[in-house]
Amino acid sequence: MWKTTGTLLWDPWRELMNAGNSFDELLNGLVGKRGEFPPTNVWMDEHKIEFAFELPGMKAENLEVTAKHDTLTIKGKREEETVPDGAMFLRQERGAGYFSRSFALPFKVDSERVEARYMNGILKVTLPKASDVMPKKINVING
Amino acid sequence: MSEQVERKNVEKNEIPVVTPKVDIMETESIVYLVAEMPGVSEKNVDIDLQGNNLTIRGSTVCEGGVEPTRSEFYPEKAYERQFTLGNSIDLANISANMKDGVLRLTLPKVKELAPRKIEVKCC
Repeated sequence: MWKTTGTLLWDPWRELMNAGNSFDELLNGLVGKRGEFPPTNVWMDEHKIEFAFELPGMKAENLEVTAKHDTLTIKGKREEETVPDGAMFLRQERGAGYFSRSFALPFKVDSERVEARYMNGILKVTLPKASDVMPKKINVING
Repeated sequence: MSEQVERKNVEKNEIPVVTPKVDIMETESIVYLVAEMPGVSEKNVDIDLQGNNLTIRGSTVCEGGVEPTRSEFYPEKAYERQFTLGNSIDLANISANMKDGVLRLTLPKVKELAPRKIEVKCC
């Protein structure tokens, strides 16, 4: 029943449980994890890291973005929909209330040059790499 | 409520279609529909009314190159959702407004005719 693979014991039950977790994560990735707002896309190249947060209908004064050397934090408040007098909700899918989300940054960023731009309900935050960790071209001298 | 993601048939150029979240509120005289479509500008919203079927569509794809807040890595997506309106909606007077990725539709209800007294004239 037990099989050794290298120096580790192979545990078939643990593999099954891990497969279950991976499947959950896959589904959550498609649908969106509960309790993690706003939905975020992150990508980076050798010069910068960029975040795009889906935040429709936000007011700039209700948003707070903080960048420290190794962490980006986004906080804010979604206003509740102003319900007209005497109105009844037939369907309520949009959320409201406070939110806060933090991301560990893979490299040191230049906090002074971070840019945040809100357009069409998407907040894009661009964090350039700190100059002391930027790839530097080294000239090779002959001789 | 969770978003539903439909993957169209496996073609590279197809963009995923997502169901936007909506709030629907109703008073005696108006129905308000608010849909979240982040990334969609007012130029890329389509509101289609066929009989009693209302379809709202939006797309983050922007023609003419890359918008300033978009980068080449941001995945494009499309939104679509359909609603069947009751007979009480005054279809000719629906109005819409799109701002910050939120589409707001105002659907007034048909005003009921006030009861009239009909006089019977004789000969």
